[in-house]
Amino acid sequence: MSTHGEQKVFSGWVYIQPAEDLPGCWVGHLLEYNIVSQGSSPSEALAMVREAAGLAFLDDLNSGLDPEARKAQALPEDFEPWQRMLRKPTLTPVSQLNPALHREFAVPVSLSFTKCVDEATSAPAISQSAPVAA
Amino acid sequence: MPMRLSELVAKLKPYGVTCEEPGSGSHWKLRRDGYRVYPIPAPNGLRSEIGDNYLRAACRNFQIDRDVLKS
Repeated sequence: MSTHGEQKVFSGWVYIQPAEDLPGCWVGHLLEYNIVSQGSSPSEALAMVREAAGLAFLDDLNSGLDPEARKAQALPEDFEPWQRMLRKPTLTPVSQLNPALHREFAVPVSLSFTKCVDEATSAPAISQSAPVAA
Repeated sequence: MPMRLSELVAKLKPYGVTCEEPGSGSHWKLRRDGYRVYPIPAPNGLRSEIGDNYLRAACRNFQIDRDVLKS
C-alpha cells in the first residue's frame, strides 16, 4: 500500500486461470489479499476481481480496518503458479487477454481510494478513485 | 462441484454468515461477525454458479472448513 496525501493505493497480482469445475468460466485471484472472483472470459474475470477488491477494501476502510491485514490470508502455495509463469513470461497487453492463445494470465493491478466528505451528512468517508490501468 | 449461490447462502447460514445484496455491481457481500466482508460474484443473483476456487478463498476468509461446508 502507498499513501499520497489523502489517497491510499493497494497493489497486487491477479492470477487468472480456467475454473476447475465451471466450463467456460475463468477465475481471478488477487493473490496478496485472497480476493477471488470469476467471469466468462479472462478480461471479465479481471474486471470482476477489481470490483470485488474495491468492495472489500472500501468496506474495510469505511469500517476503520486496514485492508493490508487481509494479506495474512495469503498462502505461499497460492503464489506458485504465478512464480512459475514469471520465470518464462509472454508479455501481452491487458486489453488482449486472449484465451485462445494462453490458459493462464498474471496481471498487476492497483486500486486507489480517496478520503472525502459525504455531502448529505458532512461526515468523512472514503471513496474508490477511478481504476488505475495495469 | 460448483453450487448455486442460493445453496451456498443456505449452507453458510448456520455459521452466522449473512448475504447482503448491493444496490449496484455484480457482487453481493458476505458478512460474519468478527471477520472481514467477502464479496461474492452474483451476476445472475441467487442462480449464479459459484466455483470451487471461490469457495476455497471464502472459507479461508471466514475460517470455515470447506469440506464440512460442502458435505
